[in-house]
Amino acid sequence: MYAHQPGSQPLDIPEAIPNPAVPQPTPAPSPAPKEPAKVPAPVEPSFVSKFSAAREGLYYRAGKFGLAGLIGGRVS
Amino acid sequence: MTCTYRLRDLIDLLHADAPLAADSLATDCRHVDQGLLSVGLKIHCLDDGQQFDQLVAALGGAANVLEVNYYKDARASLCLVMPAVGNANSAIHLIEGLERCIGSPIFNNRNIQLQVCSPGRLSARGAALLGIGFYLGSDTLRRYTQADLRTTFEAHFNHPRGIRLVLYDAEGDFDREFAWWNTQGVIEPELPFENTRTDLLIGSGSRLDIQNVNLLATLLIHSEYNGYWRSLGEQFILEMESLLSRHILSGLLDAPWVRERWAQIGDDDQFFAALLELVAYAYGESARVKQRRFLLFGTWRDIPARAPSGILDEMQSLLSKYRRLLERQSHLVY
Repeated sequence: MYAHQPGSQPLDIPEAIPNPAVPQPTPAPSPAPKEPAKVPAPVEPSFVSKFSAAREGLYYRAGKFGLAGLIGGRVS
Repeated sequence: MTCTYRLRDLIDLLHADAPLAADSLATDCRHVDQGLLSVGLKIHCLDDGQQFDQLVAALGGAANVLEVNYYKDARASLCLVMPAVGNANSAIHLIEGLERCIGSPIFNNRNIQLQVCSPGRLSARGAALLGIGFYLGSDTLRRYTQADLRTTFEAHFNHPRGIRLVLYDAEGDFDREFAWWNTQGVIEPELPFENTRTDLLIGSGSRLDIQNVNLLATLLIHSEYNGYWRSLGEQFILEMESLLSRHILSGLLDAPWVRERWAQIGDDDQFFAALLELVAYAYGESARVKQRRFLLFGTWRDIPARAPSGILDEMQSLLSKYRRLLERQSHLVY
């Protein structure tokens, strides 16, 4: 189909277009590949973290002016 | 056209790759649904057709299955003639089964041109309504060149078919053992046609195209051959003519949409001019109903705006209306 004249832009008419009056079937979304569930590896608590946990526990049990304040110096 | 293999053999072959489609076909392939016409299919392959090699070999070899027929799309490497089935759904299942069997798409494949065959020859006006109804009702608007419509029977000595969208048969094999709903609502065991057909080159086609062509051909053939759907068909013709008249396209019906025996020189071009006019109108309509709207976030998007008076929308409504009417009234026969 030649729809252009000399000096004008040629029209680009596609060979086939969807009929706008017909609802076009939407392609079914392909399911995304499942990612493997992330399970944190069990970590043996180190000496430092054991000590910190113990210190935190003491801090919250004893209050900021109690034993925790003396051990950790967290008196604010 | 000759189909040298049995549908039963094809179904057995399809069973390995497409068991569901094959089972459905085995059950329903002779069943005539709601008095609609039986459906025949031809598959024209525009590429080298290698994907069909194994299937053709299993059905009896190229010499028996393909070369026995001279007819095909002029550009095609092969034309596979499918056995007729009783309803459009079976025709769709047949193609779906073939797709799985050959491992390649057939629906909406630009290298595969489908031809849908309906029993009985329509008049020239009926052929025009069939062609126009198919085009406007399809889920794809196509533009054509004459090369798209050339077949090996274009200038055949005995059965010249010209360069058309709608083609008559060439008096070949015909399976008439499908039920026909006659005007009294009595189901006759065979079709009232010896071996005549009206075919439509739907090109790269879809499931909807097969269903639409089957509905249109049924309404038109029943109106011309005094079938059960005669009055519904006549009503459809009036509405379709009125639709074309509202869009100043009535003149399209006077073009030679099918090549008749008394065709004149220049009829191919006259038909093609009418087809181009229809295509241009439909493309223009498509552009009109798609409005570009500026959306949030600074993006332009095409939004289909359903124009209530657009020809494409009207054609869809017409097809839906007659599908519903046919479904409702078919219960009176069962």
